Amino acid sequence: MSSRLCVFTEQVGGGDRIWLDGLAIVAGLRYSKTYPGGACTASWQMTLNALARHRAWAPGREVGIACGASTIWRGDLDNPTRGTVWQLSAQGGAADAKRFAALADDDTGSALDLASVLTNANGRGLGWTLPGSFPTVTDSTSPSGSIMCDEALAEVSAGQTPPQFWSVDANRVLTIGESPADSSFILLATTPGGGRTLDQFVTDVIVIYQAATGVIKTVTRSATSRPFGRFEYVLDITAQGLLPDVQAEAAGDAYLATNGARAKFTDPFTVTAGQLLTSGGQPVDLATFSPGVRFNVILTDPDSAGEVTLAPVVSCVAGFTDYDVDSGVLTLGTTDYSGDSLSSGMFAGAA
Amino acid sequence: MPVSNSLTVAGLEQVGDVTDPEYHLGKHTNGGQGSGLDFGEILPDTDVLSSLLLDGDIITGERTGNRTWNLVTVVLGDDRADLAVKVNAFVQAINQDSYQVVWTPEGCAPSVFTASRATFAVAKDFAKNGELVAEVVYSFETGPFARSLAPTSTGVSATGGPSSLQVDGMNSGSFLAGTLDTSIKYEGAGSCKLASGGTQVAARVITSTDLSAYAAISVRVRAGTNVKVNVSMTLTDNAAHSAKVSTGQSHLNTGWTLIQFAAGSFIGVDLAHVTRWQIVVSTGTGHFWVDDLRAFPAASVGNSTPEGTVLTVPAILGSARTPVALAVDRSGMDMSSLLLHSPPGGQDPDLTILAGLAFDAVVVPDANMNYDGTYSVIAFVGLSDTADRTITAAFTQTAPGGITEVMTLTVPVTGTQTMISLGEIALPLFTTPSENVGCALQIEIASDGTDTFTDVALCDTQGQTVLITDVLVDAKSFYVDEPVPTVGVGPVYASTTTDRTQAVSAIDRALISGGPMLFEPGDNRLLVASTSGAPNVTVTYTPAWLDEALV
Repeated sequence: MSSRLCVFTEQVGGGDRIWLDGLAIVAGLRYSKTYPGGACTASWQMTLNALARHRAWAPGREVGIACGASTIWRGDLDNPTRGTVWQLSAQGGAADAKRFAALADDDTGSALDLASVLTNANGRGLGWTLPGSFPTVTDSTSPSGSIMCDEALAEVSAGQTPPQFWSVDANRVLTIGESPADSSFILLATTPGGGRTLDQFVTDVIVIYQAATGVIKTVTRSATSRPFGRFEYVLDITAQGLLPDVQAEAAGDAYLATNGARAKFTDPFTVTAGQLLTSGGQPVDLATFSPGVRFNVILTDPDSAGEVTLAPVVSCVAGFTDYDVDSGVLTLGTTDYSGDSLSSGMFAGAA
Repeated sequence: MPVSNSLTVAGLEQVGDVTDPEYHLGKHTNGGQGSGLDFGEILPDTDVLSSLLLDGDIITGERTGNRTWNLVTVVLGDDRADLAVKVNAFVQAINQDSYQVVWTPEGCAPSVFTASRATFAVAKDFAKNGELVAEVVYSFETGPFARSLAPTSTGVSATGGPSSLQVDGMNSGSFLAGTLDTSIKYEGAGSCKLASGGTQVAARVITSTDLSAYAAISVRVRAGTNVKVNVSMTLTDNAAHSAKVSTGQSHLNTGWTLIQFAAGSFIGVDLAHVTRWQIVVSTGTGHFWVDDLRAFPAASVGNSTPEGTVLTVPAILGSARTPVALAVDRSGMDMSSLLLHSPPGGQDPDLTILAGLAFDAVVVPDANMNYDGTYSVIAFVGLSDTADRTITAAFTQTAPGGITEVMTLTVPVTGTQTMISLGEIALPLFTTPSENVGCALQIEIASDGTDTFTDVALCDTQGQTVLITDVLVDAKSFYVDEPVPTVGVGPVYASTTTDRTQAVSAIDRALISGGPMLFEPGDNRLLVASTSGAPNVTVTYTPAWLDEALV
C-alpha cells in the first residue's frame, strides 16, 4: 500500500505539480526538521525501471510532502540514485538561505542587516515571507556579501539577549524570536533519551567583548550553585561590536540560562503514536509535529532524568524531529541534545 | 460458480482442469496443494512499541505486509519442444510486474489477489522431461487482501438524496419487552428501557414496514455505566420468519451509541414486510436503553450545508479496507473547487467535520465534538479579498466551571481564494471523559482583509483528503480513480461535461494526502464539498477480504 503522506514535485517557483505517488509506489518516506532552521532533509524510495526518465524527478525541482490538507515539508530535490529501487532525497527549504549571499542595499552596508539582506535575497528568488521587523546587532566586521544569508541569520539570532532562533515553515514564512518559555506539549517517554550527560554543561561563562571604549574586556558570570563542580565556558561576542558592560553581562546570563542548571540528554527520544500529547492531553499526529515548541517530559523512570531533586519539571525545547512515515516513529531531539549532528549542523544556534 | 476448486495464476488455470489442462498445481516440499492451499500469512508491517513498565510489546499501526505464496506447477507437453513452449509461456506470465491470482473454492465466490513478479526455478530433470513433464517451483508476493471479482457502486445526491427512515422512535405505547422511559431519550418523547437481568431485551410489534430498499438498520443504545456487551437485533416478517444479527463486543457508555446492522445480514427475512423487532444486550450490569430504530439507504446525508455534505455510507462489504473511486458532479452546474475527505475508520458518526458559519463562527455542541486526533482546518471563502492578508482560525473549548482553552492557527494568503487550508490542530483542546457532557467548541474564522467565510471543514490527518482550490476551467464533474497496483494514488480528472468523455487530468492542481481514498468494512463517512455548492457523489469499490471473498 502507498505511503500515508504523499509527495509531489513542482518546477521552481511553483506550477507543473506532479505527484510521485501517481507514478510509482513511494515507500520509506522520512523527513526531518530542525530548530533553528526548518525543513532539513527528506528521503524515500520508488520502484521504477532503472532507465525511466521523467521531469518529475529532475534535480532541483521543488519537493512538497502533504499531510491532511497542508504541505508540511518543502525542499529541493537531489539527483536521484537509480537502481532496482530508486533512492531519492531532498534538502529542506531552510537550506535555501545557504544559496544566497547576504547582500545589503549597497557596498557600505552590513551583511547582518537582515531587513535589507533578506529583502534583497527575495528579489533574487529566495521566496520567503519576511516578518515585519528584525532583531539587530551593532556590527562593523561583516561587510555586505562577506557571508551567506544562513550565517547572517545565525549570527544575528545568537547575538540577541536572550538568544533568538530563526525558522522557516513549509509556507516559506520566516519567524525570528525567542524559544518558547511555556510548554504546550507533553511527552510520555518510555526511554530516557539516552540518559543525561554533563557534556556542554556550564556553571561559569567568561564573556569576551568589545567595551564601549573599544578595549577588549572579559567578564565572568556564574551560576548560583555548582552541584556537579565547576564547568567554565568562553563566550566570544566581540563580533557584535561595541557593547556596554551591562549588555555583556546579560549575554553571559542568557547563556547560563540555557546551558546551566541541569544535564543534557545524550540521545533523541523515540516516540510512537500516543506518546506525544498536547497540554490538554490529546495525542497529536506525529507527522504534523515540528520543532521549536517546548514540551514537558514525563519519564517512567524518574531516576534516569538525572535530576538533583524531583521538584523541577523536565522541560525541553524540541530542536530536531525526524519522522518515519511507514513505521510512524518520530525521533525527537531537544535543544539540550548534545549530539554532533546538531551542534555542528548548519543551523547551529545559541542552544 | 464452478463445480470444483479453481486456482488461476496470471491467467493460467492451475487447479480445476477446465481451461488449461497442461498446468497442474504440484506438491511443494514444504506443503502445497497436497496439504491445502496456503495463501501465506498477513503480517503487521509496523514498529513495535516496547514499554519499560508494562509486560510485553505492542505492535502499533495498521499497515500490513504482503503475503508470500510458494507453489509448484507441473507442466505437461505433447512433445519435448511443446513442453519447452509451455514452460516458457508460464514463466513469462509470472515474470511481470503485476498479475492476478484468482482462487475460487467450490461453490464460492472468486478471491482475486494482486501478485508481483515471481522468482522461479525450473528443474532440469531428464527423466521427467523425457516423460514430457516439467516442474516450475516459484514464489511470489501478493497484497495482503483478496478482492471480489466485481465492483459495487452506490450513489447519493448530496442535496436531496434518499434520507434515512425512522422505523420506531419509541416515543409512546407499550413494548413486548422493555418499558417506555420518557425521562431518558435520544430523540423524540421517549425511549425503551430494557427489562433488567443478565440478558436484557427490548422488543415491539410494528406496522408492517418495507425496509427492502435500505442497506443498514440501526439503533441508538445507552448504558448506565461504561460496559462492554454484545448487542443483537432480530427482525421478523409477516410470515414469522426471523433472523438475528449480532455485533460482537461493543463498548457502551452513558452516551447514545449508534449500532448498525447490514440489512443483507438478516437472511431469510422478507425485508419488505418487517413486523417485529427485538434488541438484546448481553451480558451487562446496570440498565440499558434503546431509541431511534432507523433504516439507512446505501448512502445518506449525515449533515449538510449549502456547500457540502457529510455522507453516511453504511454496510460497505468486505472484511478489509478497500480503495474507492469517486465521481462528483452538481447535476451539470460548474464547480470551481472540490474537497473530498474520507475519515479514518472508527470516527464518531456524530462528529462535526463540516459546519456552516454564521457571522464567521460556529459552536459545536458536546454531542458532536468527540474529536480524537489531529485535523486539518479548511475555511470555505464566501467573498474573497485579493490583497495580501492573514487568515486566522480561533478554537475555543469550554467546559462547565468556567474552564476555557484557546488555540489559534494563522496563515498568510494573497490573491483570490476558494478554500484556505489553515494548518493542523489536535482536538479536543483538552480531553474529558465521556460522562462530561457540558463541553462546547467554538470555531471562528477571521480575515484582516475583506474575506467572508461560509463553512469550516475538519479533515482528520489519519484519513484521506483530496483538495482542489484552483481549477483551470470550471468543471462539471470530477473523478478520483482507484490506483493501479504499481502506483500509490490514482488519477484525478476534471471534466467540462458530466461524463468522462472530456475529462482531463487535474492532479497537478490537487493536494492529495493519506494515499488513495479508502473505506473500511461496515460504515463509513465521506465529506464532499465545493464552494460552488454541495455536489453529488457516486462511490464505486471492489470489496476486500482478509481471507476468501464472500461475494
